[in-house]
Amino acid sequence: MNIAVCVKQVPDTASQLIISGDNKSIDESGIKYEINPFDEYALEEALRLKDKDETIKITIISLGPERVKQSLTKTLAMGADEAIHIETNEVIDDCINIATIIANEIKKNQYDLILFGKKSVDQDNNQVGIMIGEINKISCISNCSEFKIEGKKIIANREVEGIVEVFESELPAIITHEKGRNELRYPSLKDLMAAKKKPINTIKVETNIDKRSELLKLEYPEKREEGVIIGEDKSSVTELIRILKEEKKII
Amino acid sequence: MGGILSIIEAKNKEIKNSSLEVLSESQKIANTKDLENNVVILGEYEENNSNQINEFGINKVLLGATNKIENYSPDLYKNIILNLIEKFEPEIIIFSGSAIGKDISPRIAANMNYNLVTECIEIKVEENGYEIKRPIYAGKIIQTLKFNNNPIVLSLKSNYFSINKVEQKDFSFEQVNNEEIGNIISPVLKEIIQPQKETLDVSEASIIVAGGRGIKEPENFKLIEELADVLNAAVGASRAVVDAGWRPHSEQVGQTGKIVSPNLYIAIGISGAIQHQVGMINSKCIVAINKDKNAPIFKFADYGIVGDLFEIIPELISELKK
Repeated sequence: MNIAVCVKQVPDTASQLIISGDNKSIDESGIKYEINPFDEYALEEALRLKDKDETIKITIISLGPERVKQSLTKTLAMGADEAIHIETNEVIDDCINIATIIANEIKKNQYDLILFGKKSVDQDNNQVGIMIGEINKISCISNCSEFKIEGKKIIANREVEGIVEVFESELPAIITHEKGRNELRYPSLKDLMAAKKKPINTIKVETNIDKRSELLKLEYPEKREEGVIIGEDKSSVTELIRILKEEKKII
Repeated sequence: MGGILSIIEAKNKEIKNSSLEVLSESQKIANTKDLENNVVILGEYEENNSNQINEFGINKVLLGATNKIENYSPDLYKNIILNLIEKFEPEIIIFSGSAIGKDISPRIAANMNYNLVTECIEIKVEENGYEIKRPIYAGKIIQTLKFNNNPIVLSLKSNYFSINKVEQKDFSFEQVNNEEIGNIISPVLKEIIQPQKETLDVSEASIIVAGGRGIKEPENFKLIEELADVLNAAVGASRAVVDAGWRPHSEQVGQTGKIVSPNLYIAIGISGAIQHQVGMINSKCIVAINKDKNAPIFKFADYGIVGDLFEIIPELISELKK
């Protein structure tokens, strides 16, 4: 079985983000880049399948600049077999364009299962994996919390709005994954050394991308004002209830 | 040609709140640009229930799959919407930020080769297109994007827009033909598992009571649940207690959980790390209860009580019950 896991490199979620002087980009100095957390959960699911069946081959696909290679090496150290780096120094904003580029790459191989994180925590677009399903005519189950493979079928759970939807599909299929139930693995130094021997194939993105939107500006959200401390013990409870009931009228 | 296609969802024969937000926003755009606003209702719905959608300046209501299925089917929904796009050639297609909206909008955009802009928080009509604001980096930054007049698909951030009504023109109902579904590629919904206990989901609740590591033991979450019960609130959780296996991931609020904006968010024993903060900072009112007066949460909570939650919460519950 061939599994592809598509990952994106994003700023670490603990990063303090600073808008550059042009008001259109983030100051990259001092930012630590990591694999998008949801993509890591997706990769973990693939690795767990491989733990049980060594014949499974895992290919990582990532679009982005040179620095992405570092994340790809990490995924190889975690247990993936090979990586494809679709290299570009251009910031591609339109998801439909990103999806088209990755869809073209996926088409080149026969994957039985293609995994994505449900969204990237930088742009929060929540759409690329699903779009690729439509572009390549592959069944996609989005926002899955868990899935299992039974023969040529995949059964996946979507935990949405208080219920669990159980979807079923034939393989090949695309899954976009929620935060999983499984703990992530961390590569050892030995794994990292061994990963250097695994292949990363670099492919250049063909240029002339039809840009459809224009980024006008970035800004910080309005800052919340510091509130008041009502008190320091249980006697403050009555006051809190009064405020919520009478002033705020929200309970 | 041109005009708006608003995609509305019904559940248990009622229009979902997130869809009313779509009607309210699409009405504004229709009015500013003098566009026709056609609305399709997907899911279980009855025509004579139309008082809910009476005052949004709608031109035509199309009923799709309303009598056929009560549950989500990506192929059926996709087919209906794509047929309507072909018929009306809308310049703007608006979805809600519901679970279905999140799943179906990329399918539509990809099929039409249109741009999809998710989590929109402001849509401004400009002379030659739209200017749209949306949060990125879980809301640490807001971006403004400009789109020219090419057709576009949008989905709104849920619980973000106020629902404004206008005087209604007459509108007609039309049943959409959904007999033919070609090109089936999507997965099929086999089963819906209902929760053992009827619980409110954090992404839909107007009040959330959330607990963090300060709760100390998983059993102590009973206190949080009890307070949530009294307030008719959803239970939320910090990443720490979800990772520890005390609570399900569906309750997690934050960057790798849900991003919520209820009317009231009560954070109990939650320190307020940046990854949690971004998930709840847009709540209308934030109350923090924490014994550490230096906890970051007090920097952005509207009201705080510094103290032992094991004394304060039982008191709060018994006072609220009075």
